[in-house]
Formats: sequence, structure tokens, C-alpha cells
Amino acid sequence: MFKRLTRILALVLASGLGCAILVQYAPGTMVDERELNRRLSEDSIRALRSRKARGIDAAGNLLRYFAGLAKGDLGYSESNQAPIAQLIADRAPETLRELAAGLTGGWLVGLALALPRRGWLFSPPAILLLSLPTALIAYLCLMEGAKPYLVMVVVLTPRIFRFARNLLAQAYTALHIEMARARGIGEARILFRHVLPSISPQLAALAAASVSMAIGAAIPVEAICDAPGIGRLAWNAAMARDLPLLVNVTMIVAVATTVATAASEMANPQ
Amino acid sequence: MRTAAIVFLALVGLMALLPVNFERQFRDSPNAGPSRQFPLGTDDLGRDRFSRLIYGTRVSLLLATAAAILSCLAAAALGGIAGLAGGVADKIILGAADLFLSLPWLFLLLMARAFLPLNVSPMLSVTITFLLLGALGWAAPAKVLRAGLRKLRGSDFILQARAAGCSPARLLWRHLMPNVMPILWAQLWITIPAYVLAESTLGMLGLGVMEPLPSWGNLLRELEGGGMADHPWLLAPVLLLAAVIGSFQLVFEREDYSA
Amino acid sequence: MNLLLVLALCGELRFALHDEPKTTDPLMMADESAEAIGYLTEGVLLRINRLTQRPEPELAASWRISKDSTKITFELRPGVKFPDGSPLTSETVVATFRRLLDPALHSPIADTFKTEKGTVKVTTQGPLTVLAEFPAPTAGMESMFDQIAIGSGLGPFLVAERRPGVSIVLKRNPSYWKRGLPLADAIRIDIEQNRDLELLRFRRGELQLIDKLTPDLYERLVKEAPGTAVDAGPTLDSEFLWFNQAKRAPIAETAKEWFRSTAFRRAVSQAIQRADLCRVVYRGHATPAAGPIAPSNKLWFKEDSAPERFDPATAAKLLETDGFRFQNGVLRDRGGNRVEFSLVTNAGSKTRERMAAMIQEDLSKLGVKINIVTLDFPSLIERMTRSLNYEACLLGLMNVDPDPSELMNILLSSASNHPWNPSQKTPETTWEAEIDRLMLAQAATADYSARKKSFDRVQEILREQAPVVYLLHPNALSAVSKQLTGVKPTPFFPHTFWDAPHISIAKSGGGG
Repeated sequence: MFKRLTRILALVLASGLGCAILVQYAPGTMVDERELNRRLSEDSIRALRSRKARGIDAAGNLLRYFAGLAKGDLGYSESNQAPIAQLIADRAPETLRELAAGLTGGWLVGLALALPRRGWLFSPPAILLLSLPTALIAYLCLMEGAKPYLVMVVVLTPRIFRFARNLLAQAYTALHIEMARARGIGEARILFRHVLPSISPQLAALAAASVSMAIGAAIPVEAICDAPGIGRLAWNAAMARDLPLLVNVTMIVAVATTVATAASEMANPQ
Repeated sequence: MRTAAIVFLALVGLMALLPVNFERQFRDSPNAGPSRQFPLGTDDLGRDRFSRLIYGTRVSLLLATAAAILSCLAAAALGGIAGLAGGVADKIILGAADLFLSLPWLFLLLMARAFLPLNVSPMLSVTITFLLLGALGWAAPAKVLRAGLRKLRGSDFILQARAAGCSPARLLWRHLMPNVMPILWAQLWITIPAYVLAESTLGMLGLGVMEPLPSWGNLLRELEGGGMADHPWLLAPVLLLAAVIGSFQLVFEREDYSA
Repeated sequence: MNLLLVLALCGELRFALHDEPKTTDPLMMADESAEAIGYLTEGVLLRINRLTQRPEPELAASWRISKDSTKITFELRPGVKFPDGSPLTSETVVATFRRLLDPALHSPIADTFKTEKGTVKVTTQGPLTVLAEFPAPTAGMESMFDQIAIGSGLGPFLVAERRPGVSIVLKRNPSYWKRGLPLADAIRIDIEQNRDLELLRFRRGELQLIDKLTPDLYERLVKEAPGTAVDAGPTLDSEFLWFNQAKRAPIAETAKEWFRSTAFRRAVSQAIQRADLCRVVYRGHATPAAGPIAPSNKLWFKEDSAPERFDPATAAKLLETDGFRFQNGVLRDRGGNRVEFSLVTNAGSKTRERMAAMIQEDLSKLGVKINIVTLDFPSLIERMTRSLNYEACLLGLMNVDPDPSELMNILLSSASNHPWNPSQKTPETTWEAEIDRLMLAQAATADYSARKKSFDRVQEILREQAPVVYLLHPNALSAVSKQLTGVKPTPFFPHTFWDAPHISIAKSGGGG
């Protein structure tokens, strides 16, 4: 466990550092859109540029950042004109709501459709939804007035349905299930007493992995739906080259994704 | 179903090779409805949608395949080293894969796009974009391959071959590779549609293929104008995309849980 | 006004901005979103009426301009109070200008008050009298004061709540000096980047105004909710493309030679079908451009100007005079090099991408091959202003002030925003030197006829030399809910809410 935690921490720090280096050398990092304002004199443009350059010194910033982190200060977002801690505290509930609703809805609907014997009827619509880009599903749902959390349900349900159905299909081929059927045991009892317990590690792993899927889907969903969550914050930070904000958001996403992946591996070591 | 899916994919592939003129602008007929001359109508600039759909299918499918091949080759190399060598090499490669998976790939692509030289043809530019996607996408297949190799490494027949004095090279080529190929092949089939979908997402976010080249991404972007109820032919790229990706899924069932 | 009618007409006005304001300091506002908030929350000495284009008294009840156009004296309105109850006095105005003109602040608004001859001096002449002295005769003095927020909290609304990147809520200012105004209780401004979503929300009644609509969304609204879509006519804005003529640009020397050829630039201008751009991309809601000044700018538009005529035959002849040859569908220069270059523009703008595609097709008929490259905005600015690593660029300019001095930092060859060859130590061509001389001359006098003569000549030179190929002036397209009264859309920013204090919302009535 200690090794895993160390690994997660190292990965999160590496992703923050990697992101900081990427932003520092990305084209357009040193520019401020306000430079194009034709009312600005040359002096003012120079002042804007040097101010921007001071904010982008990655190594110096990272040291300051970690020093601030120890005091609970995540830095300041120039593009939002607000402290990053406040921004994240403001946006996190929306993303958590979307993830919670999306995962709960996705699991309930996905499992409900996968469990029955006639569950194969839902395979074609599941394949259809899996075949469309998340951004397109988000857009189509948006046009029908669906909220972002509903979009997450639509995105996650077919994935959970498909994987659960595959697991169930494999589980039903086991010899002991055939034996149970031969002995006349009812389907419901077979499902709940024999099938589900046998695939519970894989289901737990799928649950953990579905958290990763949900986090990955959140960014395009929030960007398209303009939902005020962490995903949209990340997208805007990337467009604005807001270094401190992008590093923080990357590290948050890295923590969530690596914890979910680790949980998935622990649940199903195979 | 699998056979039907393969046949359908082959037909789509052949259709995508039809010669079409996707750039010509019929400026007197922008946003026209379907007709004999324009089976799917015209777009905002009066360009034939059907021709653009055919050419876009070619661009998206060919380049997604190229990207998938690149990522699978990278995955084979790195995943192979990690799975076979184990130890420090395994830890380093696994760490690098996890790092790649946690970095914001959209931002990586944005950056890479901005670094591209300006004076390349649209086709070369989109090829480079897809190859970049492929270069960034090695991590997930590498992890799958590594897991498969680790399992194989400890299996009975490998142990027996080793005990019988099999050389490492022979072990690799005669015993491991044939058993790893199905995993690689499955990954290739899984990643082709993943790259098609990735390009579509990029296109919808305005970061896709450059004008005048069509691709599924920028064809889907037309839906942003709305009016699907009045202009149902706008859904043609959606239906074709769904049919193609769905066929890929039918050919190869996914067992891993990666998105 | 009848109390019941007043009650029926109160409410919350709701619209969206497309970006988070980059600053909350009213003296530092340099982006459109920040200026919109400042417009609604800050008090100014005078305001240019967006309909009549005439200055109207605000915090200054009256003003006098000296005969030599170097001094302006303001008489402040008595009885105006800040939200904390303190009165507005001449000292407040002087303190505002002291802060504005502080070199350490680097206010973009202050830069318009600084010239080579010196900085404006603002002094108090009495408890309610303020004198502003300019170092030289200055034209368009009044419009400069339209932008200066005096103190804080003297506007019709106050910022009540701000969620960065999400929304800003403004509440009625109880101490606003115009009694009985504003009519609306509050304004809720959402930060909405997705324009399709913005329109959808408008159609559902969640938003009541859309200040700027793209042409395709405008057309959609005309079909779905006629009566709510408004075309206020041509704006002062323009869309244009230019070629990189900077000697130090890291592009091929052959390309630099083409771009520095007047014949080449004129030929490109003549080969582009501006009428098609207006008709197809802008769906008829744009006017072909003759130069930087839109025809709606009646004071400064050169009357006998007309957009460059679409004439590919003449364009081909012009190219031949400069040694270009058209062979087998390909244009080659005198060295036999194929004429091919990249055209960069910003990603995410469908209108610009479509315009670029049409220009690409038009120029292909001349044998010119264009590669269209869309970049995210920071990358684009970086290439335009720092590395100069681009060949041709397609962009637009938003003009707020009709006065030609607004274009000073674009047309002066020494300016870093001089698009085709920025930051020149001395003008590299005689015609740029002439433009410099004329622009400085028109800024140094308040005599309209003299200024017009100088600026007319600038427009002629821009036409002759075509360093910038002006394409079109878009119309101001907006959406106004039927619930609203008092909205008077104009082509000038802010198009729909410039008269926000007089906008009222009826409680009944459907959305969109």
C-alpha cells in the first residue's frame, strides 16, 4: 500500500511538472491578447509582456507553488482573476455532481439492461452510442435541453452495459452454472447466488475504471455544454495558457485517475 | 454478424476510394437540399456534401489506421520490453505510460498543432496530426501488451521451452510472438476507431483538419448549426460514423475497460 | 409612471458575454468583456450616444472646449453621491486622472492621453469644476472622456456577485444620480463561450439579449423567432488580410519578394470576390470594404471610395507586369518558383474559416496556392507579434471609436501593432513615411476639414499600395427578446445594452 501511495504521489508530481514544462514552451504562452489593443502605447505593451514573462517562469513558479501548497495556497489564476483555491472550490461541486449522477445513473441503467437474459436487445443502441464521439453526444443532448449530468449518463451507460454484459456472458459459461441449471435452480437465484459473486472482483475493477472513464468524458462534455466545472476550467486554462491553473487542474485529474486505476488493479489483480 | 461487419467495412473502404471533387464551391447553391447533382445537398460554401463525406471517410479511416499502427508499434516495443525484461525497465516504462495517460492530451495536441510548420499541404498537416495522436496513444495498448506478456512469461509452455534449452531469440520469435500477435491485433482494431473518434472530437472543438480537407470531425461540426429536424441529411456523417465504428466493435469485442 | 406598470416592468435582465473579463479595475479595462462590465457599472463625465453619435452629459452637466482645442473645462453635476454617501467633487476626478496617468499603472486608456508632446494635466478649478489641459490641439477630445470611469460605483449598476468564469450579477445602484433609473432591478451576465448554447438559451427565454450573433445563427433565429433578430446595419469593424512584409521575418526570401510587390498585393485584392464573401459567409449581412473606414462612418469615410472591383483579368495583367507567369494552372514568379503561401487565422471562428476557404478558391484561379492554417489565438498572436513566423494573416478589427486617431497604433510604422511590418525604427517605404506624416498631422489639429483631407489621403495610399486587403464590414446582428422594451440596437459597441438604464423587462411574455 505504501509503495502504491508513493507511486501515485510521484506520478501526480511528475504530471504537474510535465504540464508546467509543456506550458512554458508552448507557442503563445508569453503573449497576452491585450497586446493587440491598439490604444496601448509601446511602454504599456512592454509592461504587459514583462509581467507575463514573470508569471511563466516554470521552475521558480513550481518552487513557489509547493511552498504555497504547504500553506493551502494554490496560487492565482490570471485568466480568471481569482485565487485558484476559490475557483476549484467553486467548480468542483458541479463536476462532482456530474460524475456522481453520471456514474450512479450509468451503473443503474447499464446493469439493469445487462442483467436480464434479453439484455442483448440493448446491444445495438449501446454500440451506436459507443460509436459516436463524446463531444457529439454532448452536443446532441444539449440541443434537446439535457443537463450535463444527463449527458454523462448517456455517455457512460453503454460502456458499463457492454463490459458488464461481456463479464456476464463469460460467467454464464462456467461449468458450475451449467450444473446449477441442470439441477433446476431458478435463474434469479443463479444470477444472485452464483454469477454475480463470481464476477464481483471484475465488477469492482470496472467500477473503479468507470471513474477514469467519467473523468475523461467530463472535459469535452463540460466544454461543449459550458458547464461550470473543473473540465471546462481545464479547457479554458489550456486555451489561455494559464500556467498555475493548468498545473493544479492537471494534478487534480492525475490524482483522481491514478487512484481510480490503482483501485481497479487492486480489485482485480489479473 | 462479424462477417457482415467485415464486409461492410470493406465496402466502406472501397467507397472511400471513389474519385470525388470535394473542394469545388457552387456559390449560387449554398445549403441546398438533396438533388440529383448533390445527393446530400451542399454545405455553407456550396460544396457537395456527398463528395466531402466520401473523401472525409478516406482521410479519417486511412489516417486513423496509420495512427493506430504507429501506436501499436510503439506499444509493442515499449510494452514488450516492460513485459519481458521486467525489473527497472518495467517500472520506468509503466511509470511513463501512467504519466502519458494523466497529462492533458488535448493540450498536448493543441501545442503540437501550433508547432507544425505553416507551409505544409493540408493532407500532410492532417497526417502529422494523426501521427502525433498515434505517438501520444501508445500508453494504453502498451499496458495491455505488458500485462499479456507478463502472463505468458510465467506460463507452462514457456517454462518448458526454457528448460529444454530454447535460446532467447527462438523463444521470442517461435513462442512469445505468435501468442502476443492476437493481443496486438486486437489493440489495433480497438485503437483505429478510437483515433477516428478522437479526430471527430478535435474537429468538433475546432482543432481538426484544415480547410478545405473534409474529415468526419469537420463534417460533424456542421451539426452545430442546428436544423437537423428540417435537414435530416445532415445526419449522414453521423450514421456512417456510427456504422463504421459499430462494425469495428462487432469485429472485435473489447475486454479491457479503457475508454 | 404608473406604479403597477413600474412593478410589471422591473426584473432581471439576462445576457451572456463570451469571455471572462480580464480585469475588474475600471482603469485597466482593455478587453471587450471588461469594457462591457465597466460600461454598466461605472460613471463617466460624458457619454457618446450610440444612436446619434453625439456626446451627452453624464457626471459632467456641461463642458467648454477652448478655441485652440487644448483645454476642456467640465462643470460637474451637483448632488451626485457614491454608494458610501460621499459626494462627487472635482478632487475625485483629479484623483482618478492622477491614478490613470501614473506611469506605473500602464493603463491602456491612459495611453490615449499621452503623446510625444506630453501628458494631459487635470486640475481642479473649483469644487465642481475640472480643467483638462492637453499639450497640443487635440481632435475628438470629448470621446476620450467616454472611457474614463470616475471613482467607483457611480454607474447605474453595482457588482453584487462574481463567479469567475461563470457569471456576474449586477444590482441596481441605489445611489445612481439619475432618479428612477435604472428600470431593471438587476443584470445577470453569464460567461457563455458556446454560441449555439447561447442561442438555445435565448430561445428558451433564459437569456433576453444576444449582443453579437454570427450570421448563421442570425439566419436561424430569423426562421425560428422572427421579430427577435435585429440587423442594426454596418458596424465600424472590418475583416481583412495582410502579408508579412517584415525584413526580419523568418520566412522564405521568395515569399518576402512577392509580399513586398505592390502589383502582387493589388492583384490579390482584385482576385477576391468580396460580394461573394458578404453573400455566402455573412448571408448578406456585410458590406464589401473599400478601406479601413466603413461607409456607416459618414464623418470619415472617403466619399468616392469603392471596394476594389473583382477583376481577375486585370489582376493577371498586374502580375505579369511584375514578372509573374501563369503556366498550366500554376502561377510562378520570375525565378520560376511556384507562388504558394500559408494563410493563418484563428481557430474556432467559422466565419473566418469559411472566408479563408473562399479566398483560397478565388486565388486558385490566379494559379496561387494557399494553405489555410487555423491556430488557437495565443499561438496566432505569438506568430504575429513576436516570432513574425507567418506569411499571410486573416483577421478582423473591432472599432469602437469612429475617429481615425483610433487607428494610430495600427497605421504608424513604428507601432508594434502595425500589422504588415511592425516596430520599424524608420519607415522602410516612402508611402509608409507619408502615412506616418499624415496620421500625425491629422492628430495635431482639431480642424475637421484639415483632418479629413489628411485622412482621405491616407485612405488613398492604403488603396494604392494595398498593404492590407480590406474585405468587408460586418453588420451588427443581435437578438432582442420581446419581453424587453427600451432596447435600441446600434452598429456601435455595446450594440444592445448601451442604454441599459432605460431597458425594462415585462414579466409576462414568452422567451425568445
